Amino acid sequence: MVLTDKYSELDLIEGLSKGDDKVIQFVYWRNMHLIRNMVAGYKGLILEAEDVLQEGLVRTITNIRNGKFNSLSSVHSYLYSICKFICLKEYRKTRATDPYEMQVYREQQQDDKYYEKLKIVSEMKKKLETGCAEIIDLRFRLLEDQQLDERTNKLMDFETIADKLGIKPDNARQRFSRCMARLIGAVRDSKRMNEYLRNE
Amino acid sequence: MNIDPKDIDLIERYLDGSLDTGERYFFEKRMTEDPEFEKLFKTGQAVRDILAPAAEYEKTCKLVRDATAGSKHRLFHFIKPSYLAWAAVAVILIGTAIGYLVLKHQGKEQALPGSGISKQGDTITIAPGDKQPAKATKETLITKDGGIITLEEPKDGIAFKETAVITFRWQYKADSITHLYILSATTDKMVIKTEIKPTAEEYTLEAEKLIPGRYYWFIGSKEIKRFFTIEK
Repeated sequence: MVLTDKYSELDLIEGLSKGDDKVIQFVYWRNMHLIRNMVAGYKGLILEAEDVLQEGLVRTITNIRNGKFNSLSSVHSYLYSICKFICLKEYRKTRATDPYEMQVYREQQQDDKYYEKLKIVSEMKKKLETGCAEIIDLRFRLLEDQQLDERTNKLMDFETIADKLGIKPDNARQRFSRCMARLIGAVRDSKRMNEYLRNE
Repeated sequence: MNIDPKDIDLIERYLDGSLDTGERYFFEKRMTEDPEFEKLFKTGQAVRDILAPAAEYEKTCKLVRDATAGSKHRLFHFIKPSYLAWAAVAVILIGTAIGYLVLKHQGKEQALPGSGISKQGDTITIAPGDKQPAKATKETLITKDGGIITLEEPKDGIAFKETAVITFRWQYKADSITHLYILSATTDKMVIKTEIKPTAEEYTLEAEKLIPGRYYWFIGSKEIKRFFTIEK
């Protein structure tokens, strides 16, 4: 399979933002060889190129959606920078002395904290019991069919939650507070999360 | 240390803006006096701010994983695409060379310009009235016992539909019984063998007796043979 640039930059940005499978696959395979070579260049790095590229793609898509993508660079070079940072971070947080690598490292470092926090909260939430995760998802409208703007702007009121769960509104509020207490407690106990919060 | 759900309820209501003036005053006062409560508030606020993006992040991870599923097991993904293109060109060239040699071996390379013979795919179609290809097998064979065999129809390289009824015609001047043979040109295996009496000069092969492919036929000896093709 020979991949040619059949998508324009605009097509790529739009496709990735919408989560178009074909565009994601195109970007993935278009960059696989480069990322493989890059990973192979870091002797002793235990990351696999596929994992680096997948994480890089997730961050690229998220940044495009959040308006953080700098359209001065191409999607491919933007993805490459993110993947390079992921490798550098693992390889040795600042063993790199190459000026280009140092620049990539500095540029991506702040962004990386954001993604690390997302990962920690996701991991902690997954560890909660089903009933807890359910009520948090309802309150913050995190279910699959909810759009991001709806989630961030509107919290679901306890009357509606109670109606959906078949319980009283007071019980819904108490259950939510109890579950949030568990989640916040778990996050607070995370050493990494504490470091991130302390530095903010 | 366990967190009191009542504190969380208080923080939630503060962030929602649903505390009354008095509650709000005491909340902010406690924040200044109780560092633990202040820390809890900051963590709670951070978690609350990040829950929606975290859910979105998870969703994007799933999307990318699904779109690139099986990538680790995909063959040849470590090979640069241009190498694959060159490999494909090499395979085509080698295939063409082998095909040419096979055709040559089977006496099929004799399409001569201006001879009225046109070559299409791997068959040669002879225009009516034109002669047999120069390098086709002999026209007539004189057997050891003095018999004479001449193959007439079908001529060399004719293509038939699978549904066609094919009539084989020849001249056989001898006293003994012989056989008509039809063999696969690909495998050289015999497909049909039928007895020919000295007086017989034709044999009719019913439709769909042969599967699509290349064949050749002869009477008695392979020394003179004619190729034909069965198409779908």
